[in-house]
Amino acid sequence: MKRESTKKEMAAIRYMIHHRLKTYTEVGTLDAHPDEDTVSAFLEGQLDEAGSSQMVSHLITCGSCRHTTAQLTRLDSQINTENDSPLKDEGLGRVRLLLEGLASRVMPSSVEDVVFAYQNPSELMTEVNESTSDEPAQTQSSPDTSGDVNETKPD
Amino acid sequence: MTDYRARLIDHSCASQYLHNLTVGTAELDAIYVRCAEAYPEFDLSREEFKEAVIGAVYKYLVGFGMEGEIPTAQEIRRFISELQGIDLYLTLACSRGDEQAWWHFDRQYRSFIERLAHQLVGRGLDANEVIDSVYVELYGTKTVDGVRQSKFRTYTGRGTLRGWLRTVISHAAVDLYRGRHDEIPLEDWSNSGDGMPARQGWRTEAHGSETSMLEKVARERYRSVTIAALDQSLATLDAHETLLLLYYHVEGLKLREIARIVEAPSSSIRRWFQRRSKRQRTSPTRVHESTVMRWLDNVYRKVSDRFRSELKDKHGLNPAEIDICLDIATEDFGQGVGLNLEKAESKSFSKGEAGSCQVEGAS
Repeated sequence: MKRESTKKEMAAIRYMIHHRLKTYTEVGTLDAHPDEDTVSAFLEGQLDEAGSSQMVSHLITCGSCRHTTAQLTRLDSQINTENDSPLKDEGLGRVRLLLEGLASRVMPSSVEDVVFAYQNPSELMTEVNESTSDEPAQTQSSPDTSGDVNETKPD
Repeated sequence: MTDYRARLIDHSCASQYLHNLTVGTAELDAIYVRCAEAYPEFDLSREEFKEAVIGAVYKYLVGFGMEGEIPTAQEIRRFISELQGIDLYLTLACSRGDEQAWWHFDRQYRSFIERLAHQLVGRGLDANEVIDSVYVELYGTKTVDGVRQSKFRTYTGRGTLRGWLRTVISHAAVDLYRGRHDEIPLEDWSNSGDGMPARQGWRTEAHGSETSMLEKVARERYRSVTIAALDQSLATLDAHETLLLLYYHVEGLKLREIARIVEAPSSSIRRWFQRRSKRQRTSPTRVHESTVMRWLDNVYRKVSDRFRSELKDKHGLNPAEIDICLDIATEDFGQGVGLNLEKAESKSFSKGEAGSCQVEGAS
Protein backbone atom coordinates (compact mmCIF):
# COMPACT_ATOMS: atom_id res chain seq x y z
CA MET A 1 0.00 0.00 0.00
CA LYS A 2 2.80 2.34 1.02
CA ARG A 3 4.80 1.34 -2.03
CA GLU A 4 1.84 2.15 -4.22
CA SER A 5 1.47 5.59 -2.70
CA THR A 6 5.21 6.29 -3.06
CA LYS A 7 4.98 5.31 -6.70
CA LYS A 8 2.04 7.62 -7.16
CA GLU A 9 3.85 10.43 -5.39
CA MET A 10 6.94 10.03 -7.53
CA ALA A 11 4.79 10.11 -10.63
CA ALA A 12 3.23 13.34 -9.39
CA ILE A 13 6.64 14.82 -8.67
CA ARG A 14 7.90 13.91 -12.16
CA TYR A 15 4.78 15.39 -13.63
CA MET A 16 5.16 18.62 -11.68
CA ILE A 17 8.85 18.93 -12.52
CA HIS A 18 8.13 18.38 -16.18
CA HIS A 19 5.51 21.09 -16.39
CA ARG A 20 7.26 23.49 -14.06
CA LEU A 21 10.50 23.34 -16.05
CA LYS A 22 8.54 23.89 -19.22
CA THR A 23 7.28 27.17 -17.81
CA TYR A 24 10.68 28.07 -16.50
CA THR A 25 11.66 31.59 -17.44
CA GLU A 26 15.27 31.87 -18.43
CA VAL A 27 17.11 34.48 -16.45
CA GLY A 28 19.54 34.97 -19.30
CA THR A 29 23.27 35.11 -19.05
CA LEU A 30 25.85 37.80 -19.41
CA ASP A 31 28.61 35.26 -19.77
CA ALA A 32 30.34 34.74 -23.08
CA HIS A 33 28.91 31.86 -25.08
CA PRO A 34 31.32 28.98 -25.54
CA ASP A 35 32.80 28.63 -29.02
CA GLU A 36 32.49 25.56 -31.26
CA ASP A 37 35.71 24.10 -29.95
CA THR A 38 34.50 24.22 -26.35
CA VAL A 39 31.03 22.94 -27.19
CA SER A 40 32.37 19.93 -29.06
CA ALA A 41 34.96 19.25 -26.35
CA PHE A 42 32.12 19.31 -23.79
CA LEU A 43 29.94 16.95 -25.80
CA GLU A 44 32.84 14.56 -26.20
CA GLY A 45 33.57 14.62 -22.48
CA GLN A 46 36.93 16.26 -22.96
CA LEU A 47 36.57 19.19 -20.59
CA ASP A 48 38.16 18.85 -17.21
CA GLU A 49 36.17 19.00 -14.01
CA ALA A 50 36.29 22.76 -13.56
CA GLY A 51 35.74 23.56 -17.23
CA SER A 52 32.83 21.15 -17.40
CA SER A 53 31.25 22.66 -14.30
CA GLN A 54 31.39 26.11 -15.83
CA MET A 55 29.87 24.78 -19.00
CA VAL A 56 27.08 23.06 -17.05
CA SER A 57 26.34 26.29 -15.18
CA HIS A 58 26.22 28.16 -18.45
CA LEU A 59 23.86 25.63 -20.03
CA ILE A 60 21.41 26.01 -17.18
CA THR A 61 21.08 29.73 -17.71
CA CYS A 62 21.53 29.86 -21.48
CA GLY A 63 18.67 28.13 -23.27
CA SER A 64 20.20 28.84 -26.64
CA CYS A 65 23.45 27.00 -25.94
CA ARG A 66 21.59 24.21 -24.20
CA HIS A 67 19.33 23.81 -27.16
CA THR A 68 22.34 23.72 -29.47
CA THR A 69 24.02 20.99 -27.45
CA ALA A 70 20.79 19.01 -27.38
CA GLN A 71 20.37 19.32 -31.14
CA LEU A 72 23.96 18.29 -31.74
CA THR A 73 23.45 15.23 -29.60
CA ARG A 74 20.36 14.36 -31.59
CA LEU A 75 22.20 14.86 -34.84
CA ASP A 76 24.84 12.49 -33.65
CA SER A 77 22.34 9.72 -33.27
CA GLN A 78 20.69 10.52 -36.60
CA ILE A 79 23.87 10.50 -38.63
CA ASN A 80 25.35 7.14 -39.33
CA THR A 81 29.06 7.81 -39.43
CA GLU A 82 29.90 4.31 -40.53
CA ASN A 83 29.29 5.34 -44.11
CA ASP A 84 31.86 8.09 -43.89
CA SER A 85 34.72 6.33 -45.56
CA PRO A 86 37.14 8.62 -47.43
CA LEU A 87 36.03 9.52 -50.92
CA LYS A 88 37.85 8.06 -53.86
CA ASP A 89 40.93 9.84 -55.06
CA GLU A 90 39.91 12.60 -57.43
CA GLY A 91 43.35 14.08 -57.67
CA LEU A 92 44.08 17.67 -56.78
CA GLY A 93 41.87 19.10 -59.50
CA ARG A 94 38.74 19.53 -57.42
CA VAL A 95 40.54 21.00 -54.45
CA ARG A 96 42.56 23.33 -56.64
CA LEU A 97 39.38 24.70 -58.16
CA LEU A 98 37.74 24.92 -54.76
CA LEU A 99 40.64 26.88 -53.29
CA GLU A 100 40.80 29.18 -56.28
CA GLY A 101 37.11 29.91 -55.88
CA LEU A 102 37.46 30.55 -52.17
CA ALA A 103 40.52 32.71 -52.63
CA SER A 104 38.65 34.86 -55.12
CA ARG A 105 36.06 35.60 -52.45
CA VAL A 106 38.52 36.84 -49.85
CA MET A 107 37.61 40.36 -48.80
CA PRO A 108 40.21 42.93 -47.88
CA SER A 109 40.54 44.11 -44.29
CA SER A 110 38.36 46.92 -43.14
CA VAL A 111 38.27 48.84 -39.92
CA GLU A 112 34.94 47.27 -38.96
CA ASP A 113 36.42 43.80 -39.22
CA VAL A 114 38.93 44.38 -36.51
CA VAL A 115 38.05 42.30 -33.50
CA PHE A 116 40.21 42.37 -30.45
CA ALA A 117 41.72 39.04 -29.69
CA TYR A 118 41.47 37.59 -26.23
CA GLN A 119 44.36 38.04 -23.93
CA ASN A 120 47.05 35.94 -25.45
CA PRO A 121 50.24 37.13 -23.93
CA SER A 122 52.66 37.40 -26.79
CA GLU A 123 55.47 38.06 -24.38
CA LEU A 124 54.82 34.78 -22.65
CA MET A 125 54.63 33.02 -25.98
CA THR A 126 57.96 34.46 -27.01
CA GLU A 127 59.51 33.44 -23.74
CA VAL A 128 58.12 29.95 -24.08
CA ASN A 129 59.45 29.73 -27.60
CA GLU A 130 62.84 30.69 -26.34
CA SER A 131 62.80 28.28 -23.47
CA THR A 132 61.40 25.26 -25.29
CA SER A 133 63.15 25.62 -28.58
CA ASP A 134 66.71 25.35 -29.66
CA GLU A 135 65.90 27.56 -32.57
CA PRO A 136 65.56 31.33 -32.38
CA ALA A 137 62.08 32.40 -31.33
CA GLN A 138 59.76 33.48 -34.10
CA THR A 139 57.38 36.23 -33.33
CA GLN A 140 55.35 35.55 -36.44
CA SER A 141 56.07 32.70 -38.77
CA SER A 142 53.80 33.73 -41.60
CA PRO A 143 50.94 36.11 -42.23
CA ASP A 144 48.46 33.28 -41.76
CA THR A 145 49.82 31.98 -38.52
CA SER A 146 49.55 34.82 -36.09
CA GLY A 147 48.80 33.50 -32.64
CA ASP A 148 45.93 35.95 -32.29
CA VAL A 149 43.99 34.66 -35.22
CA ASN A 150 42.53 31.60 -33.61
CA GLU A 151 40.72 33.29 -30.80
CA THR A 152 38.93 36.14 -32.45
CA LYS A 153 35.24 35.98 -31.82
CA PRO A 154 33.06 38.02 -34.08
CA ASP A 155 30.20 38.27 -31.69
CA MET B 1 31.11 31.03 -17.79
CA THR B 2 34.22 33.01 -17.18
CA ASP B 3 35.35 34.97 -20.17
CA TYR B 4 38.73 33.44 -20.73
CA ARG B 5 39.66 36.18 -23.16
CA ALA B 6 39.63 38.74 -20.42
CA ARG B 7 41.67 36.89 -17.89
CA LEU B 8 45.27 37.57 -17.10
CA ILE B 9 47.84 35.31 -15.66
CA ASP B 10 48.97 36.82 -12.44
CA HIS B 11 52.45 38.16 -13.01
CA SER B 12 53.84 36.37 -9.99
CA CYS B 13 52.56 33.06 -11.36
CA ALA B 14 53.82 33.63 -14.86
CA SER B 15 57.30 32.29 -14.27
CA GLN B 16 55.91 29.15 -12.62
CA TYR B 17 53.53 28.68 -15.53
CA LEU B 18 56.36 29.09 -17.99
CA HIS B 19 58.43 26.54 -16.17
CA ASN B 20 55.58 24.01 -16.12
CA LEU B 21 54.88 24.69 -19.73
CA THR B 22 58.48 24.09 -20.67
CA VAL B 23 58.51 20.76 -18.87
CA GLY B 24 55.05 19.87 -20.09
CA THR B 25 55.70 20.59 -23.71
CA ALA B 26 58.88 18.53 -23.82
CA GLU B 27 57.05 15.63 -25.40
CA LEU B 28 55.46 17.88 -27.97
CA ASP B 29 58.30 17.12 -30.33
CA ALA B 30 57.35 13.47 -30.45
CA ILE B 31 53.79 14.35 -31.36
CA TYR B 32 54.99 16.76 -34.00
CA VAL B 33 57.25 14.11 -35.53
CA ARG B 34 54.38 11.64 -35.60
CA CYS B 35 52.15 14.15 -37.36
CA ALA B 36 54.86 15.13 -39.82
CA GLU B 37 55.30 11.46 -40.66
CA ALA B 38 51.60 11.04 -41.24
CA TYR B 39 51.48 14.08 -43.52
CA PRO B 40 55.00 14.53 -44.88
CA GLU B 41 53.83 16.75 -47.71
CA PHE B 42 52.59 19.56 -45.45
CA ASP B 43 54.81 22.50 -44.85
CA LEU B 44 54.06 23.10 -41.21
CA SER B 45 56.86 24.12 -38.89
CA ARG B 46 57.38 22.74 -35.43
CA GLU B 47 57.12 26.27 -34.08
CA GLU B 48 53.74 26.78 -35.64
CA PHE B 49 52.46 23.51 -34.24
CA LYS B 50 53.86 24.30 -30.83
CA GLU B 51 52.28 27.73 -30.84
CA ALA B 52 48.87 26.18 -31.51
CA VAL B 53 49.32 23.62 -28.73
CA ILE B 54 50.38 26.28 -26.27
CA GLY B 55 47.33 28.27 -27.30
CA ALA B 56 45.17 25.24 -26.47
CA VAL B 57 46.88 24.80 -23.10
CA TYR B 58 46.28 28.44 -22.35
CA LYS B 59 42.66 28.32 -23.36
CA TYR B 60 41.67 25.19 -21.45
CA LEU B 61 44.07 24.98 -18.53
CA VAL B 62 44.63 28.64 -17.78
CA GLY B 63 41.90 30.59 -19.50
CA PHE B 64 38.93 28.96 -17.89
CA GLY B 65 38.21 26.15 -15.60
CA MET B 66 41.15 26.37 -13.26
CA GLU B 67 39.97 29.39 -11.28
CA GLY B 68 43.31 31.15 -11.35
CA GLU B 69 45.36 28.08 -10.59
CA ILE B 70 48.46 27.48 -12.61
CA PRO B 71 48.42 24.04 -14.25
CA THR B 72 51.17 21.69 -13.16
CA ALA B 73 53.66 20.23 -15.60
CA GLN B 74 51.90 16.91 -15.21
CA GLU B 75 48.53 18.39 -16.06
CA ILE B 76 49.99 20.11 -19.09
CA ARG B 77 51.66 16.92 -20.22
CA ARG B 78 48.45 14.95 -19.86
CA PHE B 79 46.49 17.61 -21.64
CA ILE B 80 48.91 17.59 -24.58
CA SER B 81 48.91 13.82 -24.79
CA GLU B 82 45.10 13.86 -25.01
CA LEU B 83 45.01 16.33 -27.88
CA GLN B 84 43.98 15.11 -31.30
CA GLY B 85 47.43 15.90 -32.67
CA ILE B 86 46.91 14.62 -36.20
CA ASP B 87 43.65 16.49 -36.58
CA LEU B 88 45.23 19.66 -35.25
CA TYR B 89 48.16 19.27 -37.63
CA LEU B 90 45.79 18.85 -40.56
CA THR B 91 43.70 21.89 -39.67
CA LEU B 92 46.73 24.09 -39.13
CA ALA B 93 47.98 23.21 -42.59
CA CYS B 94 44.50 23.83 -44.01
CA SER B 95 44.34 27.22 -42.33
CA ARG B 96 47.49 28.18 -44.24
CA GLY B 97 45.73 27.25 -47.46
CA ASP B 98 47.94 24.24 -48.05
CA GLU B 99 46.56 22.48 -51.13
CA GLN B 100 47.65 19.02 -50.03
CA ALA B 101 46.08 19.51 -46.62
CA TRP B 102 42.80 20.61 -48.18
CA TRP B 103 42.90 17.57 -50.42
CA HIS B 104 43.18 15.30 -47.39
CA PHE B 105 40.52 17.21 -45.49
CA ASP B 106 38.11 17.25 -48.40
CA ARG B 107 38.60 13.58 -49.05
CA GLN B 108 38.05 12.60 -45.43
CA TYR B 109 35.28 14.96 -44.44
CA ARG B 110 33.36 16.13 -47.50
CA SER B 111 30.95 13.23 -47.32
CA PHE B 112 30.32 13.93 -43.63
CA ILE B 113 29.77 17.65 -44.26
CA GLU B 114 27.34 16.92 -47.08
CA ARG B 115 25.33 14.40 -45.13
CA LEU B 116 25.12 16.61 -42.09
CA ALA B 117 24.09 19.61 -44.18
CA HIS B 118 21.32 17.58 -45.80
CA GLN B 119 20.17 16.44 -42.38
CA LEU B 120 20.01 20.01 -41.08
CA VAL B 121 18.21 21.73 -43.90
CA GLY B 122 14.56 21.54 -44.67
CA ARG B 123 13.07 24.95 -44.03
CA GLY B 124 13.76 26.92 -47.14
CA LEU B 125 17.44 26.24 -47.00
CA ASP B 126 19.44 24.49 -49.64
CA ALA B 127 22.01 21.98 -48.38
CA ASN B 128 24.46 23.26 -50.98
CA GLU B 129 24.23 26.73 -49.46
CA VAL B 130 25.12 25.31 -46.06
CA ILE B 131 28.02 23.35 -47.54
CA ASP B 132 29.28 26.41 -49.38
CA SER B 133 28.97 28.51 -46.25
CA VAL B 134 30.93 25.94 -44.26
CA TYR B 135 33.76 25.83 -46.78
CA VAL B 136 33.85 29.63 -46.95
CA GLU B 137 34.09 29.85 -43.20
CA LEU B 138 36.72 27.15 -42.95
CA TYR B 139 38.86 28.84 -45.54
CA GLY B 140 38.13 32.33 -44.26
CA THR B 141 37.21 35.01 -46.71
CA LYS B 142 37.54 37.85 -44.23
CA THR B 143 40.87 39.34 -43.40
CA VAL B 144 42.02 41.32 -40.42
CA ASP B 145 45.25 43.23 -40.78
CA GLY B 146 45.95 41.27 -43.90
CA VAL B 147 45.50 37.94 -42.13
CA ARG B 148 42.87 35.61 -43.49
CA GLN B 149 40.50 34.49 -40.72
CA SER B 150 40.30 30.76 -41.26
CA LYS B 151 37.86 29.00 -38.98
CA PHE B 152 40.34 26.14 -38.77
CA ARG B 153 42.39 28.36 -36.51
CA THR B 154 39.81 28.05 -33.76
CA TYR B 155 40.17 24.28 -33.59
CA THR B 156 42.48 23.34 -30.73
CA GLY B 157 42.48 19.55 -30.98
CA ARG B 158 40.76 19.20 -27.61
CA GLY B 159 37.89 17.26 -29.18
CA THR B 160 37.78 15.37 -32.43
CA LEU B 161 37.81 17.21 -35.73
CA ARG B 162 34.56 15.49 -36.63
CA GLY B 163 32.83 16.72 -33.49
CA TRP B 164 34.12 20.23 -34.03
CA LEU B 165 32.97 20.17 -37.66
CA ARG B 166 29.52 19.04 -36.58
CA THR B 167 29.23 22.13 -34.39
CA VAL B 168 30.57 24.43 -37.11
CA ILE B 169 28.15 23.02 -39.68
CA SER B 170 25.22 23.37 -37.30
CA HIS B 171 26.10 26.97 -36.54
CA ALA B 172 26.45 27.69 -40.25
CA ALA B 173 22.96 26.30 -40.85
CA VAL B 174 21.54 28.35 -37.97
CA ASP B 175 23.22 31.52 -39.22
CA LEU B 176 21.89 30.99 -42.72
CA TYR B 177 18.43 30.32 -41.40
CA ARG B 178 18.51 33.44 -39.24
CA GLY B 179 19.70 35.44 -42.21
CA ARG B 180 16.60 34.37 -44.09
CA HIS B 181 14.17 34.66 -41.20
CA ASP B 182 15.27 37.75 -39.38
CA GLU B 183 12.00 38.28 -37.62
CA ILE B 184 11.14 34.72 -36.82
CA PRO B 185 12.85 33.21 -33.81
CA LEU B 186 14.70 30.07 -34.62
CA GLU B 187 13.13 27.41 -32.53
CA ASP B 188 13.98 24.20 -34.17
CA TRP B 189 16.25 23.82 -37.10
CA SER B 190 16.38 20.11 -37.49
CA ASN B 191 13.11 18.33 -37.17
CA SER B 192 12.95 17.33 -33.60
CA GLY B 193 13.03 18.81 -30.14
CA ASP B 194 10.72 21.12 -28.40
CA GLY B 195 12.50 24.33 -29.07
CA MET B 196 13.18 26.92 -26.42
CA PRO B 197 11.34 26.67 -23.17
CA ALA B 198 7.97 28.27 -23.24
CA ARG B 199 7.57 31.34 -21.13
CA GLN B 200 4.19 30.70 -19.68
CA GLY B 201 3.02 31.34 -16.20
CA TRP B 202 0.97 28.96 -14.21
CA ARG B 203 -2.71 28.97 -14.69
CA THR B 204 -4.20 31.46 -12.32
CA GLU B 205 -7.92 30.97 -12.60
CA ALA B 206 -9.67 28.25 -10.72
CA HIS B 207 -11.54 25.79 -12.85
CA GLY B 208 -15.02 24.46 -12.48
CA SER B 209 -17.76 27.03 -12.03
CA GLU B 210 -19.48 24.86 -9.39
CA THR B 211 -16.53 25.15 -7.05
CA SER B 212 -17.47 27.03 -3.95
CA MET B 213 -15.67 30.18 -2.91
CA LEU B 214 -14.21 28.47 0.15
CA GLU B 215 -12.88 25.63 -1.89
CA LYS B 216 -11.40 28.12 -4.26
CA VAL B 217 -9.59 29.93 -1.49
CA ALA B 218 -8.25 26.72 -0.01
CA ARG B 219 -7.28 25.46 -3.37
CA GLU B 220 -5.46 28.68 -4.15
CA ARG B 221 -3.55 28.48 -0.92
CA TYR B 222 -2.45 24.90 -1.54
CA ARG B 223 -1.54 25.75 -5.08
CA SER B 224 0.68 28.68 -4.15
CA VAL B 225 2.57 26.79 -1.45
CA THR B 226 3.01 23.90 -3.86
CA ILE B 227 4.62 26.18 -6.40
CA ALA B 228 6.84 27.76 -3.80
CA ALA B 229 7.91 24.40 -2.39
CA LEU B 230 8.58 22.95 -5.81
CA ASP B 231 10.65 25.97 -6.88
CA GLN B 232 12.58 25.84 -3.65
CA SER B 233 13.24 22.12 -4.11
CA LEU B 234 14.44 22.61 -7.67
CA ALA B 235 16.65 25.48 -6.57
CA THR B 236 18.53 23.27 -4.15
CA LEU B 237 19.65 20.87 -6.86
CA ASP B 238 23.22 20.83 -8.04
CA ALA B 239 23.80 22.32 -11.50
CA HIS B 240 24.50 18.85 -12.94
CA GLU B 241 21.14 17.58 -11.71
CA THR B 242 19.32 20.61 -13.05
CA LEU B 243 20.93 20.20 -16.44
CA LEU B 244 19.91 16.54 -16.52
CA LEU B 245 16.31 17.55 -15.85
CA LEU B 246 16.42 20.32 -18.44
CA TYR B 247 17.84 18.01 -21.11
CA TYR B 248 15.17 15.43 -20.42
CA HIS B 249 12.10 17.54 -19.73
CA VAL B 250 12.68 20.75 -21.67
CA GLU B 251 14.91 19.73 -24.57
CA GLY B 252 13.19 16.39 -24.88
CA LEU B 253 16.39 14.38 -25.19
CA LYS B 254 15.87 10.67 -24.91
CA LEU B 255 17.67 8.65 -22.30
CA ARG B 256 19.98 7.11 -24.88
CA GLU B 257 20.81 10.57 -26.20
CA ILE B 258 21.71 11.78 -22.73
CA ALA B 259 23.76 8.61 -22.28
CA ARG B 260 25.64 9.60 -25.41
CA ILE B 261 26.68 12.91 -23.89
CA VAL B 262 28.19 11.14 -20.91
CA GLU B 263 29.47 8.01 -22.62
CA ALA B 264 33.13 9.07 -22.69
CA PRO B 265 34.83 7.69 -19.57
CA SER B 266 36.52 11.08 -19.28
CA SER B 267 33.16 12.87 -19.10
CA SER B 268 33.09 15.07 -16.03
CA ILE B 269 29.29 14.93 -15.85
CA ARG B 270 29.42 11.17 -15.80
CA ARG B 271 32.04 11.19 -13.08
CA TRP B 272 29.97 13.65 -11.09
CA PHE B 273 26.93 11.37 -11.08
CA GLN B 274 29.00 8.26 -10.51
CA ARG B 275 30.60 9.75 -7.45
CA ARG B 276 27.13 10.04 -6.00
CA SER B 277 26.00 6.58 -6.88
CA LYS B 278 27.62 3.57 -5.22
CA ARG B 279 26.12 1.31 -7.80
CA GLN B 280 27.90 3.04 -10.68
CA ARG B 281 31.38 2.55 -9.37
CA THR B 282 31.33 -1.07 -10.36
CA SER B 283 30.44 -0.40 -14.00
CA PRO B 284 32.93 2.07 -15.40
CA THR B 285 32.65 1.05 -19.02
CA ARG B 286 29.34 2.16 -20.49
CA VAL B 287 26.48 4.38 -19.55
CA HIS B 288 23.21 2.74 -20.54
CA GLU B 289 19.78 4.29 -20.73
CA SER B 290 18.89 2.56 -17.50
CA THR B 291 21.83 4.29 -15.82
CA VAL B 292 20.56 7.70 -16.86
CA MET B 293 17.09 6.70 -15.68
CA ARG B 294 18.56 5.83 -12.29
CA TRP B 295 20.26 9.21 -12.13
CA LEU B 296 16.95 10.85 -12.95
CA ASP B 297 15.14 8.80 -10.33
CA ASN B 298 17.65 9.92 -7.73
CA VAL B 299 17.00 13.54 -8.66
CA TYR B 300 13.24 13.01 -8.47
CA ARG B 301 13.63 11.47 -5.05
CA LYS B 302 15.74 14.37 -3.91
CA VAL B 303 13.16 16.87 -5.13
CA SER B 304 10.38 14.83 -3.56
CA ASP B 305 12.06 14.71 -0.15
CA ARG B 306 12.82 18.38 -0.24
CA PHE B 307 9.32 19.18 -1.48
CA ARG B 308 7.72 17.34 1.41
CA SER B 309 9.96 18.90 4.03
CA GLU B 310 9.35 22.35 2.60
CA LEU B 311 5.60 21.90 2.81
CA LYS B 312 5.82 20.40 6.27
CA ASP B 313 8.44 22.60 7.93
CA LYS B 314 8.03 25.87 6.17
CA HIS B 315 4.32 25.90 5.45
CA GLY B 316 3.14 23.71 8.33
CA LEU B 317 1.18 21.25 6.21
CA ASN B 318 0.31 17.77 7.45
CA PRO B 319 0.68 14.63 5.27
CA ALA B 320 -2.95 14.72 4.17
CA GLU B 321 -2.62 18.32 3.08
CA ILE B 322 0.60 17.51 1.23
CA ASP B 323 -1.29 14.84 -0.69
CA ILE B 324 -3.91 17.44 -1.56
CA CYS B 325 -1.15 19.68 -2.87
CA LEU B 326 0.15 16.90 -5.11
CA ASP B 327 -3.33 16.20 -6.44
CA ILE B 328 -4.09 19.83 -7.13
CA ALA B 329 -0.74 20.40 -8.77
CA THR B 330 -1.13 17.57 -11.23
CA GLU B 331 -4.65 18.74 -12.06
CA ASP B 332 -3.56 22.34 -12.55
CA PHE B 333 -0.59 21.45 -14.64
CA GLY B 334 -2.60 19.13 -16.79
CA GLN B 335 -5.34 21.59 -17.53
CA GLY B 336 -3.46 24.81 -17.33
CA VAL B 337 -1.17 24.56 -20.27
CA GLY B 338 -3.18 22.53 -22.65
CA LEU B 339 -2.27 20.82 -25.85
CA ASN B 340 1.28 22.06 -26.14
CA LEU B 341 2.28 20.06 -23.17
CA GLU B 342 0.47 17.00 -24.36
CA LYS B 343 2.57 17.17 -27.48
CA ALA B 344 5.73 17.69 -25.50
CA GLU B 345 4.87 14.77 -23.34
CA SER B 346 4.30 12.42 -26.21
CA LYS B 347 7.71 13.43 -27.53
CA SER B 348 9.54 13.10 -24.27
CA PHE B 349 7.89 10.17 -22.66
CA SER B 350 6.31 7.82 -25.07
CA LYS B 351 8.96 6.66 -27.48
CA GLY B 352 9.98 3.38 -25.98
CA GLU B 353 12.06 4.87 -23.22
CA ALA B 354 13.63 2.35 -20.92
CA GLY B 355 12.26 2.80 -17.45
CA SER B 356 9.83 5.24 -18.97
CA CYS B 357 9.15 8.43 -17.15
CA GLN B 358 5.48 8.25 -18.06
CA VAL B 359 3.57 10.40 -15.66
CA GLU B 360 0.93 8.27 -14.10
CA GLY B 361 -2.33 9.59 -12.96
CA ALA B 362 -1.90 12.87 -14.75
CA SER B 363 -5.14 14.37 -15.75
